[in-house]
Amino acid sequence: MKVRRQRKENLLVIRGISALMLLGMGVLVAELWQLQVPRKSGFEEVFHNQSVRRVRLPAVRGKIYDTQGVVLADSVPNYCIAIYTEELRAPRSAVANTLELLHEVWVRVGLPPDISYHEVRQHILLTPDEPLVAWKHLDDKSLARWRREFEEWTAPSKGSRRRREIPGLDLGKPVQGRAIVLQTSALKKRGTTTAANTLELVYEISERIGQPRAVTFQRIKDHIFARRPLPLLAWKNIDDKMMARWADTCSGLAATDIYYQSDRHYPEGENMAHLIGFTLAADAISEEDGERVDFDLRGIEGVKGLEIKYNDLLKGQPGSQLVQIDVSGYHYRDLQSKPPQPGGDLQLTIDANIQRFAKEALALRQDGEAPGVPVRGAVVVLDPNNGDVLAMVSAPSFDPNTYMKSKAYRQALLKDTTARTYHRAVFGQYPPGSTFKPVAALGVLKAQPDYGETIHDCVNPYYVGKRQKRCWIHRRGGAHGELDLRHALMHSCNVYMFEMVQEVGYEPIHEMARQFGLGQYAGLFPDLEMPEQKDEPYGNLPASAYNATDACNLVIGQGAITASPLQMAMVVATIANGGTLYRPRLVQKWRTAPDQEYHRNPTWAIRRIDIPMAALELVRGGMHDVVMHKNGTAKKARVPGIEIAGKTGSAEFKKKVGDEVVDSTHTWMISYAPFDFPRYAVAFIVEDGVSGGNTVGPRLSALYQKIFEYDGTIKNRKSKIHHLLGGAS
Amino acid sequence: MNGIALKRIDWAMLGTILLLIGLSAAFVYSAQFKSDLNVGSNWIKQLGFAGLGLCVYGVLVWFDYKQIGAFAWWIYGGAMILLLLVFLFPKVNGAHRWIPLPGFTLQPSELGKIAVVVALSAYLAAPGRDVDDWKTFFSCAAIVGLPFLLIVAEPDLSTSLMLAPISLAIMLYVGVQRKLLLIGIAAVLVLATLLCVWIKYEKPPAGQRAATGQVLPRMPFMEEYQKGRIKVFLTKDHDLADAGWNKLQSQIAVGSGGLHGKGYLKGTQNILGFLPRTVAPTDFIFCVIAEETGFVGGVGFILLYTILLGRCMRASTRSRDEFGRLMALGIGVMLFCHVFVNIAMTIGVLPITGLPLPLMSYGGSFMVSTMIALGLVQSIYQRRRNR
Repeated sequence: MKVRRQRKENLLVIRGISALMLLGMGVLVAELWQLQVPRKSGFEEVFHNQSVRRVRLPAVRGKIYDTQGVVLADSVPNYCIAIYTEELRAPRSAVANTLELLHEVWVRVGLPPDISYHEVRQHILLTPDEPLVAWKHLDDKSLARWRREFEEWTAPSKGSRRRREIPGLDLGKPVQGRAIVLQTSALKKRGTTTAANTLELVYEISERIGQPRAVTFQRIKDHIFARRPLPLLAWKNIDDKMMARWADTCSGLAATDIYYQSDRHYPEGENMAHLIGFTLAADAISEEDGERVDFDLRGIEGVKGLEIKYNDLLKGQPGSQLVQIDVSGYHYRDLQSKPPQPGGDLQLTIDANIQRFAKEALALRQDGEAPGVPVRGAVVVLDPNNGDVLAMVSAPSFDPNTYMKSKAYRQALLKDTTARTYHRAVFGQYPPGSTFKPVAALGVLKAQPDYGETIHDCVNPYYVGKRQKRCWIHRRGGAHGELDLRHALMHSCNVYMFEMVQEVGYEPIHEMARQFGLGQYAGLFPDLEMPEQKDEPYGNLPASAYNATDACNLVIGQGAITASPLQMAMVVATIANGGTLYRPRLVQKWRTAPDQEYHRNPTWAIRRIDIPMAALELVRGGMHDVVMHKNGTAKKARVPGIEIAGKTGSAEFKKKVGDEVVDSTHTWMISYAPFDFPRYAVAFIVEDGVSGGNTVGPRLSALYQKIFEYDGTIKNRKSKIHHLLGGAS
Repeated sequence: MNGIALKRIDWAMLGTILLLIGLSAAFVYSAQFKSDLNVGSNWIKQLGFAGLGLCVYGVLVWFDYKQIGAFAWWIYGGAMILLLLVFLFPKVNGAHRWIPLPGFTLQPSELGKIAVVVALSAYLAAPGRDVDDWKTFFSCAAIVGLPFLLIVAEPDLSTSLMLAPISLAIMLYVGVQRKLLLIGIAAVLVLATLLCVWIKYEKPPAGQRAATGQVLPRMPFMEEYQKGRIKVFLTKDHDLADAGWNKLQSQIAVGSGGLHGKGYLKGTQNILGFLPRTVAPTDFIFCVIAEETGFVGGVGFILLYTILLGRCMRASTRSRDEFGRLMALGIGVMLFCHVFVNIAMTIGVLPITGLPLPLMSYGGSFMVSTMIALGLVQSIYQRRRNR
């Protein structure tokens, strides 16, 4: 027995064991430190990757205003009924199971069931152990289809003979007679999927608010598969009435709430469609600024017009929301969010009222125009003193609000032969016809200042070489006789022009036309042009004439020469202000955010054309006579009390009607008023008209009437009341 | 003598125990928080088990431990019978580990460990025991070996392996063939290392492709899942979807806790369900603690356990007789092994085992058996020598 001797050694053992234990604890502390302090960020990143998702939130788009502050493009709230699927994971619901089975069978039969949600619920409540007849009587085709689908659905998996069981359906009897029967007793005990619970909730809400379902079961399943942490929008764009009913009946339901999105809306609708354009859903993105984006709540981006040109300004900055998900992928809570920045605003030079007047004027039908066919044409109204665009209308137009919402509308538009979406006012290419004559006259007068007194005789018939060329009056069997330049303009005599161009040559005319901005490449209208257009010309201005006949065509604005209504408006504005060609200004000011200051878009003169005063007065005089003289071609454009100057034009072209090629006429007027101190310069074109004076003249008169009443030049109490009461479009 | 002498009670130990019990309820609650398994009342049950444990504790403190020594062989025999009985009951999760009783389930392997400590201590402390005799050595081996084999057969390898350090500590202290034991320990360590290498580089089972380096023939001694656990321990990202998932999530939970933790009830790894809810309150409770209280909290807990162990060792050194000394030592080593293995497992230092954390993990059977062990220590301490 060595009890006492071992005392010392025992103590050593105890010390050793204690030391080992302390060492063990020390190792644990060290490892813990290692994990939690230096490597923490590594773990945090893994943790984030598996449980955090980034949602991209679109910004509220900026607004577009007219010059008075009328909203032309707005962001309006779109209220939706949202369902939060993470709250619908409760285990059992026989009703949900039944609905799920019903939908699965529905897809396979191709016919909707013969029972309603209410009946399903009653059945489960009262007689769950009884079978439920879901389709009462199938016709032969559906029966055959169901049998086929059922066989496929219950087909055994590979390598086994055992057929797949569908709970609730009898493997042995897919139909009973001609009815499909569900065995709801088998569905009672099964656990329910979240998709089925969501479907049940959708039915429940649908019944309570009295609206049919707006989502299919497949969409619910797709949402849970691909966009689980996000709310499911079961009804979108609900009106006030529906929202009130929802608040009354559904506010006690769990897992559902009102969700708010921002939609684009154009209060002026068709009037501004071409100018402002519209927006459509943007493409989904998966990465932004180096950060992964897991869910992109798609914003909108501009597709045409100002919306696409200024998309970067209007769209604002998207925000992002970090959402924490649990191990099943469902939304747990929101972490940080970076709020989206609203887009900037634009204020245009357009006056919504003048725009409306122009639209109405364009739509006024005259005698001789086919009823039922929409009017095609364009109107541009500029301020001649600074180039501001006061109105810019193209017809026929389309409704951008409907365009954004309805696919059917978009597809119908594609098939429409009247080219509704074409922005005629800016990009339409038309031969100017006689409206080119003032430019030609100015060109000649600059080269030969005395030409104004030259007289030519308008004879019928008139030949250039061997070709007969007509003046419009020749068609009526008459002739103008001897005219000087001013009268030639007043009467719009072609023969005078033919003589003139043969004497003086095309060159000075071409030079003047070029100075006026005709045949210009892109850069003329930077406020609306897109960068892709930089090689496309506005209109066509031939550099030279091939021969005398060609020159004669060109001088009267036919042949290869084309211009857009905008260019012709610029022409007449320049004549009105005495020779300064202003860049058309559409955007008056802009700001990058609603709380920022506006930046002004400056007025910009492209060039000052050197036109001798005498020449200007002569041409202006001629244009004055066109409207105000009793023999002028545009008598119908008159407005009592206002001195108007203008020029009519009828440009011939050939169009196809069915298989035939028919002659048709583009009818123009360019004009400015009041004569002595011009405030408005207008270019007005109607396709397929009779003549400038007959087709456009009355329209122009109506337009001027409204404009001058609007700005107070004409004081007319009756018309004021009319304007106040019902002047809207 | 029987009876409780309040002045001689180790209040430090008792205080630590009570503190740990309270924290256990708090963290079991957190582990089950926001779980849709609808078991939110587990923390109450935990307190109930603790209460029961404290009653047993009190009883054991009251009783003079020497009287228990007198019944040592009865205790040992009873435990062995229970270990045999467990095979009669149906398997749970592929193992015979539980005996279902009305109201709760009993895990005899826990009682077996205590019984081994008691029996071994009683045997070696008997007056007149010749420690150098080989007969002593073999008897000890037998005392330990029988329950070892029974537990291994359940199968419960990790619990059975616990018997080794406990008995080794006691035997080393007493001096039974020290040299042999020390050499043996060294040999076992070498063997374990070799086994690990073999497992890491063995060929995968038929039908799976071998990765580079997996060239050795398959090792026949272990079950696939046990090997799988060792593989998870040895390699960083082994089988993340299945066997490695717990380790990965546990490390993420612990690691992302950082210095100060995420806050009570805010341990997202746990709450979001990434740390599987079935294991969070039991084996991985330290995970929840580390995530929510961070490094600071983790070290705090380790400190509490160190205090507890220190008091056990103190009880051992101050014990009035050899029997008490050996028992306290054995119980101290047992506790240490549990704490060390469990915490090491959650932070990835050791392979994943099924050992719970004493006093913290949710589980009635284990709580009560821990309290029995601590009660014995307290009983020993109370009756210590007066220096």
